[in-house]
Amino acid sequence: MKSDSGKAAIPDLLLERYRLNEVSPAERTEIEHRLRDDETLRRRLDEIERSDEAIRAMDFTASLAAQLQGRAALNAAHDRPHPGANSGAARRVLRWALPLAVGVTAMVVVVIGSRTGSLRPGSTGERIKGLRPSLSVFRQTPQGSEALTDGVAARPGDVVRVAYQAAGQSYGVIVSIDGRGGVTMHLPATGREAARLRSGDRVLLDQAYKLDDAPRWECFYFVTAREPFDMQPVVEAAKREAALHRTSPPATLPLSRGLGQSTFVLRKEHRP
Amino acid sequence: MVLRRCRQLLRNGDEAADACQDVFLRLLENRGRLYAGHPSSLLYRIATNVCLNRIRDRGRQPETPDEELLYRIASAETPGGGSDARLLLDRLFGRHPESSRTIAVLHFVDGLTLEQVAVETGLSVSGVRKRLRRLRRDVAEMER
Repeated sequence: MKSDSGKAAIPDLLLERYRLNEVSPAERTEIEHRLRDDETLRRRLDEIERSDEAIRAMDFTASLAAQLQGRAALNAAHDRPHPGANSGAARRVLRWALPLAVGVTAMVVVVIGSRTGSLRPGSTGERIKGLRPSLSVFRQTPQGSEALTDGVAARPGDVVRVAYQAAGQSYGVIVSIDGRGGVTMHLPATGREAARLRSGDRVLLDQAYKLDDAPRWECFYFVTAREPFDMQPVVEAAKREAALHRTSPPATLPLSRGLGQSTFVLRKEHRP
Repeated sequence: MVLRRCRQLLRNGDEAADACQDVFLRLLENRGRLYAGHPSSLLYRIATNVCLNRIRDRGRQPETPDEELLYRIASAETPGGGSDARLLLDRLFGRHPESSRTIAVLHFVDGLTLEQVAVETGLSVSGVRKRLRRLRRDVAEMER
């Protein structure tokens, strides 16, 4: 398969990932370089955009959501003695997964990590099968603190504290990048190796963190593994991605496949 | 993206919509796997598998060369791919994990290089090459 430029054509899957902000920096550079000169490639990208618009116009996701929730509820009733927990999880997955049926904005993809990581029954504290490592963020209030939800608005000056749930993973790194390209290490604060994680439903980091006036967003990445790992590649990946992404955060950091990731995004709002 | 992929492989809007529903049901069943990076790649591969199963189960002969290629790949691994090839298919069953078919589609239909397929599937390039070689050999055996 050849393109106008005579080079091997960029596969559809790579174009889809490019639109979802899921390509590596090298892939992004290559695609954007090719887009400048390759009319065929630009047309293919336009076709994907038009296809998304057409699918959105036919309201496909709404009907798919209804059908899936029905089928998920049926499956849950069939498979589990307490279907409520499972269909709740299903609804949470559906909430972010359905837009992927037609192509999504980068922001929706960004929240996948943490939402899949937050599958837990709300009231009982009982863990459900499939629980993944996840992050929580709390904001200081005059009365104490409040738990923030992923994607919520935060303001410069807000004091936040990050917590993690290791969910069986033993080592981890928490790093954040912001809309100005800044990178902040949260765990571990120093050293070269990933921190040993503590077990527990929600482990608060020792330090609180005051949000600065960096624009648009602050995105936290929780990188985990069962074995010790070098944190330097994580820091370097965060720095590279921070330099590349200013309008929206990368969905994941480009790291080796042996490392798991979940994310938590704060949308930055500035006081008038 | 998922619906587009299903339409591309199935060439039928209604069937693609049904397949899309299957993809998300599978996703719900395997939601823990989304913890891996590149969730779109995982969805793309699930969609490819779901569509290959449908192509295999259609019970009609492919009408175009593209359909023929997909049909051959789709039928290469699981029993029931065609009654005349049943014995061979039974022999094949279990020899190739499901991802071999996805690998074949990504390489032969979508035009990904071996290196790109390796990245998408988490295999080594030599692993991808071996899988394709085996699949190709078994498809050829099946057609003798």
